[in-house]
Amino acid sequence: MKNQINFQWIKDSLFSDDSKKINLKKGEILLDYGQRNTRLYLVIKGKVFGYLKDAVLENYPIFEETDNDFIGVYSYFSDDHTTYSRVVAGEDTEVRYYDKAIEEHTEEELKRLNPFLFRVIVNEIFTRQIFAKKMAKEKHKDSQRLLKAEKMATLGQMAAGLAHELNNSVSVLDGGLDRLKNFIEDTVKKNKSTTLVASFKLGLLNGQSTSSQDARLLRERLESKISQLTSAQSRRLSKIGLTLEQLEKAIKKDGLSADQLFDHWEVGCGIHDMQIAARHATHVVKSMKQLGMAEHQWSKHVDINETINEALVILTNLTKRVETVMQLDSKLPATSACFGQLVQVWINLVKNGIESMLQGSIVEPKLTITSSFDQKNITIAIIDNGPGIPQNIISRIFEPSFTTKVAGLNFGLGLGLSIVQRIVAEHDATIEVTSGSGTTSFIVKLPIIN
Amino acid sequence: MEKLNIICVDDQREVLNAVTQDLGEFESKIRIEECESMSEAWDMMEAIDAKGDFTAIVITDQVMPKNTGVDLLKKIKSDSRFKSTCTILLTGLATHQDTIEAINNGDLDYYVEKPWNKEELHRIIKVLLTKFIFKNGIDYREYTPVIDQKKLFEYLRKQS
Repeated sequence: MKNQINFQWIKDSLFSDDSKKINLKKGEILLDYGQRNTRLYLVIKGKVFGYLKDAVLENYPIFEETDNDFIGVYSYFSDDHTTYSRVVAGEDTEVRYYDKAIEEHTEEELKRLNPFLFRVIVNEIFTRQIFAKKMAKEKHKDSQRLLKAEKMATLGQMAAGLAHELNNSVSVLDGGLDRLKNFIEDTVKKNKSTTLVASFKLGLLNGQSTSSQDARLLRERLESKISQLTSAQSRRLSKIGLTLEQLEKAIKKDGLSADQLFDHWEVGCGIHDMQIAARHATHVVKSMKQLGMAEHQWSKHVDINETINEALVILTNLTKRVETVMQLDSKLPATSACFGQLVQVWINLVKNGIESMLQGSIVEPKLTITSSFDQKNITIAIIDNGPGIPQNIISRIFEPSFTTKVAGLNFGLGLGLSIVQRIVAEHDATIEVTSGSGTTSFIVKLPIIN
Repeated sequence: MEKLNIICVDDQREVLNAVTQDLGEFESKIRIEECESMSEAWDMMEAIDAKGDFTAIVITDQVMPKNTGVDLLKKIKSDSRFKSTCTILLTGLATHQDTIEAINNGDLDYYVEKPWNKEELHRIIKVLLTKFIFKNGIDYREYTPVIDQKKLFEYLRKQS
């Protein structure tokens, strides 16, 4: 055997002296900035952290050492023996030391020792570099997370501000509309003609309930029965919801004009439509607010069905282009979740499904959304009958920046599904995708937490 | 005398109502028809054609269930019976791609954004009606109230 160093030998020969043992309590400082040090410490059991003095970050961690690691390497070997870091016990730790100021060695001993010490240095450099890399990576991740959180916070503030402003406007409109409605209703009711009152009420209660096709049929019959009607009058009268007989009687017997009849209906219908529009605006604003709300706002009793409905409100313009089938279990238990994030998950999945069906020019595009539950999980399935995800890319769809949407303004950033996956992971949930020609389903299983 | 029609297509009745109400002043000369889907509009156009009348203008929404406005435009363009029919895409939500498609493959005449401006819509319709009337050799004097005077003079100058 040549000059092979044996760690155990070193331990036994240099660090076996029980008088050179220190027991550190958690948080105790072993070495401090600028302190003179001639000792090489060996961690027997425990963990210590090294910090660098930094103007901005009071204690900037630079290394962590555990069993069989050495401490004080730099100051021990340097000429001036000055410690550049602060070494603190991360837990109760036992260390032993070798003090070169005290120890004396024979030539022979030093010969055996030197290669070992060389290895100690190299090893230290290596572990500290690894540690620095790890720190840098985490810092990068942190700053990215922070940037994203900042973005979301800005978006959330904007959404909340916008929601506040819009809500004010909408409530003014809504309140004013309500008073107008009452006043007009009272005024119209004083009318002697019951048909005029009926026209108004038909509009107010039902809006335009006559389909364009039914209206057209009635229009043709009206034109042949009541010859004095203009083209505009017959078109208008046909949508009120009064029958041919009622209209004929009103005009021919009661002497009402077609314009009068239509105007009464139109005012009622206008109020009806405005009420619906106000409700819709309120709803959209509410959804927007929830979506923008602080990303990590979790609540304990989230109704998952409600998160699905919110997503669909935001996507109304898209969902109406396909047949949307909802099979939501109304008995779904509430669970702990982040409302806004789940809405985002459904938005992404529903959007993907519908866009794939539309791009694939599917003849009868159909989107099915189901919710169900068992003892442990709530299961949400989003199923489309689009062209499916090709097998060669299905394993990559959750990768960030992976996108198939490249055409025109419908382009994708490839972030949708990676966001979905992140949110799903944050909920300790799972997502599964299966895709064949004709059905693609995304199934999300959320654990029930209360 | 043959009748000129304007067909309005929108799946939302309240929007359809608002559009047709705004077209009231054309109704003395033009018949306005309302349709809630592409297939209904198409049936209407075929019925009008069968009677020997004209579909002068189609005003369509883009986002509708089943078929979009662009689908309708492409269908109109591909049928020789309607080659002079003018089209307006009236929409609040058309992507860049939809619009390119409408112009390139649907031969779109005008793109109008919701909410529309009534006067602007009137002006566009008058210009298109004038174009349609001259293309089909219809006697423009019958339609003076709904015709664009400037366009009229342009056409008359070209003819002479």
